[in-house]
Amino acid sequence: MKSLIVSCSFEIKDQKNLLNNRPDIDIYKDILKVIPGSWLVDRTESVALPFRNVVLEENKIIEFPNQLSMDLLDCALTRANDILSSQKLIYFLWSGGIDSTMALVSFIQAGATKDQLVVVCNRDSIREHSNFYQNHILGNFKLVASEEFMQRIKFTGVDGIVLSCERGDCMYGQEFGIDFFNLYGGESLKQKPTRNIIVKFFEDHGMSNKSANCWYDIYMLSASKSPRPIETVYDFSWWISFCWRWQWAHEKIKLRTNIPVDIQTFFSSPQLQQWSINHRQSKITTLSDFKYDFKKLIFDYTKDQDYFDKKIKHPSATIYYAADSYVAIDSEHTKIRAKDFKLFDYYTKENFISDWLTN
Amino acid sequence: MLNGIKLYLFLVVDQETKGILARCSSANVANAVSQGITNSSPMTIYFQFANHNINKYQDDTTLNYKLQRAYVDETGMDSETNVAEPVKVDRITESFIVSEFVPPKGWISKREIANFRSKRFRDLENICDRYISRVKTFCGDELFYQYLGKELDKVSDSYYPASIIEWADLAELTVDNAYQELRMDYESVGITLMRIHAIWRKYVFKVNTLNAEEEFLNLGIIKSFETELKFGARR
Repeated sequence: MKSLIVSCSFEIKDQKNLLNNRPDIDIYKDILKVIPGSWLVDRTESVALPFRNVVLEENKIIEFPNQLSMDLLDCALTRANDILSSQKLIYFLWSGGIDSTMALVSFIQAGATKDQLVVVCNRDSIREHSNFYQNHILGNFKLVASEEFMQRIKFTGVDGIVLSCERGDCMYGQEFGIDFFNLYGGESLKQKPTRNIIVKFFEDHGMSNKSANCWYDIYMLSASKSPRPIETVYDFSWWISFCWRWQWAHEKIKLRTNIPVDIQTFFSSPQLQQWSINHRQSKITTLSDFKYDFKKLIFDYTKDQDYFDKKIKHPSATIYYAADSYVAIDSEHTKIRAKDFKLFDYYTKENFISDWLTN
Repeated sequence: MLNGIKLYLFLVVDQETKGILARCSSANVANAVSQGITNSSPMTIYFQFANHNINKYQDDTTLNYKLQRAYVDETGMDSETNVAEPVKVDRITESFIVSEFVPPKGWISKREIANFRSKRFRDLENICDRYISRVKTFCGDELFYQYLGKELDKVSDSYYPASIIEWADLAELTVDNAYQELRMDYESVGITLMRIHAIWRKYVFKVNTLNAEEEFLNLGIIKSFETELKFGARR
């Protein structure tokens, strides 16, 4: 039976008639009120959801050593050097956001040259981090417009590595963390992630009490396999990103390509994952404290104090704007068009939510 | 660009009766509405009606006016840009007159459909504007990009046209850096506009199949329009 590598949440929302009156699917859909735009896949393979997913081998939670002798810069430089050593041209997707700037700083520090790396960006990228563009990109690298590049990987392909920084968000506990911060204040992130607290958070986003409780159990079941103890709300939030959004974060760009393209994410290396697992957020008193370490790495290179003090994480990637896409990729890596996609073909009655409802 | 502030009424006028079916927010919207209503035409006229009820035309579909064009001796040429009822006057003070209109049978439903679509196209156009404003960075963009495209086409190997060399000089950049940025901007703007245009076109056809607000809401048009602009269509 085929499974899904990735699809998109719109498919769940849109197929109203097909999915009505199935209590397990109703609960499944409810989580989209909290995480509206992604396709959830459990890297630990602990929880069977109503629609069959397959976890790609490279995305499974691996055995991580407890100790990591490298700091963030070492991990990032190692990753940059590994990619540079491929001798392939790198098309670096720079959104102007914190993650892609941090990764690009790493490439610059690793000695990437104009012949090795092309910066893919647009006016949105420049607007978001204009000093960095002016002082560190312009003149040092060739530029390609994001929109033009997305056309290329759709229609003609590119000879080289497409490097995205999508998984930067998965390295931190900001997924729910920013919402918790905005709703209940920074101290709330230090609380234990008890059922009461998480269920209330879900309910405050419009989920039913039943769905909220079920999803708490889903998440906590997978969290029992977390390589890092889930002791705080922040840890819980980290786990949702690091475990449940990891595969989607990388695979979604492939929904935009017609032909095989070598797409990699900067943050996928074992060392960077290990850094994320070991990392503890020292304090969160303002929104600008999220992604502190990435910003510190950028600051250490640029000395841009204003950016370091004030920059907050917000959605920045505009590469997908108005660019059409497939709706799913199945376990045989077949890309599926909307007219050929029947989400219900991937439905399985034997799923965690059905069992949860029965018990 | 530097056109001055012109106040216009953007109308959709029924060719048969010269009745005004809708007052629209722009010429683009008037064209879109007209495309969906047989025997109607967009009409852009100078706005001279500060205290006229035509200002409430979109909010109040019980208002019904027709468009008249004043003449003294000859009615003038009938054309797609002159869709108005000729009316003889002694002296022309204003070219166009908006006057009371007794609606014929079937008019009200036509007027309501036009009005509904006009409102909703305005909403969709506003969303387009929001997305387009991302790439609108200079007051002279409209003329600038036309010329820039031609100049970028002249670049080959190490040859740059004088316009780009001079631009680089003025912007205090090297010529190659200038070229990189100009080309990036040009492609980004062009492709963005091509995509938004295609999606707007598609939705003009789609909304013109709808006759009432309820259908529009049931189909979630605003949401799907925004989704397509943000994530593209799901093929």
